Amino acid sequence: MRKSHVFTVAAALWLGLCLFLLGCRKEQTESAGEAPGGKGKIAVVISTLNNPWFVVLGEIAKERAEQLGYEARMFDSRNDTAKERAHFENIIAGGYKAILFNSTDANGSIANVKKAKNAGVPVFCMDREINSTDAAVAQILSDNQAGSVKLGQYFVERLNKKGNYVELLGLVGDNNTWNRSRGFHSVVDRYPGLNMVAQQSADFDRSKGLDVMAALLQANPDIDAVFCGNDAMAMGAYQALVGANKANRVKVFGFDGAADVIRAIADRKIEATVMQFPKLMATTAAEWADQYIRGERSFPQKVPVAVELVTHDNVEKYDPYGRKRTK
Amino acid sequence: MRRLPWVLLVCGVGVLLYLFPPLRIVPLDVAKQQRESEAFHPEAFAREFWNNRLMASLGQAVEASKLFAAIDQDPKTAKKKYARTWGLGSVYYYYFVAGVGRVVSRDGDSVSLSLGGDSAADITIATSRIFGNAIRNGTGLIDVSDFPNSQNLNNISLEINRIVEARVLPPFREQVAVGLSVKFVGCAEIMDKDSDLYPMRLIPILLEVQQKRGGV
Repeated sequence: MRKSHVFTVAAALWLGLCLFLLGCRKEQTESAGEAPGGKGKIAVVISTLNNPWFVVLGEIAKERAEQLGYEARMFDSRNDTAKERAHFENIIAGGYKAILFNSTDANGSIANVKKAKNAGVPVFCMDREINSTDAAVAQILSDNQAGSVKLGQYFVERLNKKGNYVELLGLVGDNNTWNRSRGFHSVVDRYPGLNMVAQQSADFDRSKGLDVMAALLQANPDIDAVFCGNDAMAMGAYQALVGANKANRVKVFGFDGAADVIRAIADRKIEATVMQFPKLMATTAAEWADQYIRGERSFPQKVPVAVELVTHDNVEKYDPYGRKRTK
Repeated sequence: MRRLPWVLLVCGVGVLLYLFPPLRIVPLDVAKQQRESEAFHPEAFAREFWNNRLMASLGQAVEASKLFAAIDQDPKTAKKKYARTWGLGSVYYYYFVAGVGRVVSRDGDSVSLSLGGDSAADITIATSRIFGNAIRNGTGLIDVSDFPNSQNLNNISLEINRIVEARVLPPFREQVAVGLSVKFVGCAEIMDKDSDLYPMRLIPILLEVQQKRGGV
């Protein structure tokens, strides 16, 4: 009796393991089916909603998905890859039909995207790249390097090829951080009169931008400019300069095209930014997800979205997060 | 006989572990070799691109006089017919242009050419520091989707620009003089049609100074 019991348990365990491993893929694929009563659900996963630029990106993506007939829900990864992983697991289990994705880490997010792909949930990356060409269906990405080259050329012109400056970097695990920084340095480093006296990360965050800039000013009181990897940090740096009574002599350069920086450029508080187009990226991602769900399979893997330099000379052509509409 | 179920269980788990290993051990030297073979070398890529693909494609450049005639007639139609764009929503576009012009002026950063008989500059050749992605984007020979990491793609532009600075510009700067004819092939990035078309600023790929004075 005891012998047959042990045999039954062992056989059941073995059978269970085999069925689990062979069947989980099928189960996940089936779980991504249509939600009752609509075209289904689309998830919008955003790296952080602590930055207004990403809020716009996420809200436009959600709004466009809803316009296309889907139930859309936004997930905030708070710049935490572990939180992002948990979101993906919930999304896969929750029967979502597609993910509009703004990643936290170019390498660290690949596994999440592959997990969704294996579960039959297509992923469309927005703005932030993952370093893979076989995980996401498509990646719609700002041409950061081109923008920072243009910004670098303007920076050289505005500083008249000489002076000391500091750089605030974004998240070190994000490709955008390095594409912006390297594009900028590919120009500025060619001018020996321009010296970078400090370079530090402020994680694309406004309050960290303020703190880091305040600390850098203590150590480097005689700087002429600051290049920030995004507009949130640029606004933080500007606040620090106001606090140190140096806002009039230190030139601030940002990147994004956020509302407060566009206003600050018009008011001559900030020198320049690079306009990205979050509305275009988010709308395209939602529309491509809809096309994919309806059967289309032909998408380019990576699509750069052009960016534009915004200065006091052309700021009247721009609204926050895009160009002004022309008749 | 009493041990058979346990033996089966252990064998089963062993097979499962073999089929679905939780980790894989790779010798350090093999891993290093793999990383090196997978690493991207932008300098080598740009050199190969320049020597083989780009040089073999110079014939695809549109004749400058033909392009300017089309732009004079209708810039939008000329753009549709001859320009290349890069990605979505771009207000920028690129022309891949070839021709012969006469040098009408030169300074530290550029050389200006006239395509016709007058002294007005139609083309400005950049002859100092080269920045941007005009050649990468303007020739249509590089596909962004081929690169898992956009930093690699961007490094290609830097290397291409270095080749222009190292190979194309030094002999040109030595030989060029006002009045001489220059055969050119290059790419232009047009950001603003009101300021970038007349003259068109070209990042050069090929420059040959012809040692005879151009006609006036």
